[in-house]
Amino acid sequence: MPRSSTSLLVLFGLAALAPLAAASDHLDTPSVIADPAADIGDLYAWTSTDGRRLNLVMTIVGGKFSDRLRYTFHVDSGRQVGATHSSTAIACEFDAANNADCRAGDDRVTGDASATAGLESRQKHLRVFAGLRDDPFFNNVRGTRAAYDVAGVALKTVARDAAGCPRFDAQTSARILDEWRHTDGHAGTNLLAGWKTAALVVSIDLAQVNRGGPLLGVWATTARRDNAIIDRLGRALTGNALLGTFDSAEASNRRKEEYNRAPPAGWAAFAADIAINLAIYDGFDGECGNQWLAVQNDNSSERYDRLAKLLADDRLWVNSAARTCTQYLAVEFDHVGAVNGDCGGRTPGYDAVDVFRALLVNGTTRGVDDGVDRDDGVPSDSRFPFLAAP
Amino acid sequence: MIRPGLALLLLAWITTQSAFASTDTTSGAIALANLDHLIAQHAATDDDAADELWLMRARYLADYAALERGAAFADAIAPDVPRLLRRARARAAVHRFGEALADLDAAARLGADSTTVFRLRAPIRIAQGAADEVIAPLEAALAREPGFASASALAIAYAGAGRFADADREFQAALDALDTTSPFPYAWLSFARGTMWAEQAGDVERGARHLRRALDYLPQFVAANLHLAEIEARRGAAAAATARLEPVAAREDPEVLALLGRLHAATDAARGAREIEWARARFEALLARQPLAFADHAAEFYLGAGADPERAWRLASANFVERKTPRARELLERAARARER
Repeated sequence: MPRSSTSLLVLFGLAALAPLAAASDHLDTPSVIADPAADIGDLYAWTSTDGRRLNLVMTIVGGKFSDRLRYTFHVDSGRQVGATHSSTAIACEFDAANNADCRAGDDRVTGDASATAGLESRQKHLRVFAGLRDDPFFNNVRGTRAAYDVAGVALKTVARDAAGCPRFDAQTSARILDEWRHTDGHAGTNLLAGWKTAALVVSIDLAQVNRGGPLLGVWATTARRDNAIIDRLGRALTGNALLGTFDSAEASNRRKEEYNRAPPAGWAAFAADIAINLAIYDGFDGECGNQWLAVQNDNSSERYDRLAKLLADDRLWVNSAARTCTQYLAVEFDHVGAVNGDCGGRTPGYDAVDVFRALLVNGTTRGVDDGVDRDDGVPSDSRFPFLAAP
Repeated sequence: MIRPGLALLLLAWITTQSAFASTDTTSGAIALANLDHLIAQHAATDDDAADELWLMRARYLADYAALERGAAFADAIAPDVPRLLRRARARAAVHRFGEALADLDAAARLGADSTTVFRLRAPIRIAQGAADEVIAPLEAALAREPGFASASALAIAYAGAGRFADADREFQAALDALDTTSPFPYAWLSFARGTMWAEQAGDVERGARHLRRALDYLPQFVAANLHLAEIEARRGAAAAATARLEPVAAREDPEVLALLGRLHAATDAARGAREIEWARARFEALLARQPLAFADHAAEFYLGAGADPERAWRLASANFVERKTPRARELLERAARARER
């Protein structure tokens, strides 16, 4: 065995995986790249069509759950986005054979939850599936990386306005958006096509989670059993796309590690980091000030504060009074005046990436796409366990 | 054999004890299953990430098919910096150190980031026996960027230079800097620390403790099992060594087979002979594909159970051309003496 040099090269570990970190929350920090069982890929949350259940999905980059971690859905409830008064934790642990032990309040379910029907809890408040499924996330990761590369080079010389928005010329802007919707010059492809995930799926009675009000702020964590958080996620792409996006890998990783481990009281401190990157995305279409919630005529560094603060409170908002779920960020839209009756949240079928990008670049929900509109697997938003078979 | 003074030994013993503080990591079986999961995930890709995943599998499970996959880029065309760096990694993985350094030089000429180039060059130069050359820049790197990667790189360099107490201190610093639930880096650092003490510094008991620690994190770690079994065999604990090796023998690591053959020969000569022949066949098959990657260990085999001093000398010579380490020199000298007999 060539023990010495191959062992030495482990010092650089899985660094080559890092460029793939343009996925939702997959591979976001060195800590989670090192242990894929700790790495949350995505979080989905939406209401059932009968209006009685909240459906939750946490996907993990690994194929098996760790026997040393706790996987938790946090559901905060209130009557207004950002203001919640009650919290419910649905926490699952696994043994070495990946048998689940999940608790929500005084209800509990244990055993092998990998059959399609999952397991129902003792008090029948929740149903749990835990096992391998198709990863429903889709994203043109390589095109995104190429777009970032173009922007990164241009950022070294381009002038910025007082709010930090780069004044990309028309040619650069066109190149960024073109790279974003293509893969190596061809039609955009989904890097995650065929990827499988250890999926933790929970369907829980709404009455168990909406005691503080109908608006649910959902976030997920992986944590050591002493509660030290390793990874956390609310909305798609907050960590991977908005923290140190154009900084050195070391600086970006350091901040993302801090972000993942921060308790809720510390989340607001990341708004300043997010605002810096929002300013850069705002310039991608060659026009500064047209980002969603940007104050167009504000030429100060506060132009992006409103959206930055909203995103720093990284919870996926679900209106549990609604039975129809079709629009990513619908609850946030409602909160800022675009009244709608959608549950918002995120189903596995949403094209969250395109909505997110368009909002950041042109302030609408479309017009900046990555050339990928759906996953190769076909998820369901109504048939448990929702994700396609692997 | 250079042995550190009593004070240094005491200091190192204290730090060794703190290294055994509990660390909660994902079980080795789950971690390996997830490694295989990632490999399958990247099956359709041909990039650095896939290479590194395959090489990790090779590193911990002595999976030589995985080594072939991970190092396949070693013979690819590399016209630009990313591909030169990738090829350098692949070549280093199979001990083609001179070619790997040439790739790094070419990458540097084409404008590759100097830090990246140094990070790849340093372990190669250490493996070639030139640890002294990289210690100062690695110390500077640690001062600039304290953490696992810098501390473990420096630990390896110190070990290569025979500065065992310094190395042990940095191994401990690297362990302290780790904050992951992955068992792999803990297992690897413990393994590297164990082999340093047992095989370079001559403190076998201390080395064995670290090797056992590596196996606490990753019981399937073939090289750690082998090194610990070698210690057990030398102590006369043949049953323990055999029990340790038999579960990993199916992986067909030739050194495992050779040691098992020697152990079995005492009680079942025919079985022992069969295993040694199996080891010979495995070494030859591996040498045919990656001669430099296996030259030193195969030379050891032919000096011992393989009983072919001429073959041992040729392999030790090839190894010495590529790396001028004290171990490579000592191996060559032993092979030359055996050949003369």
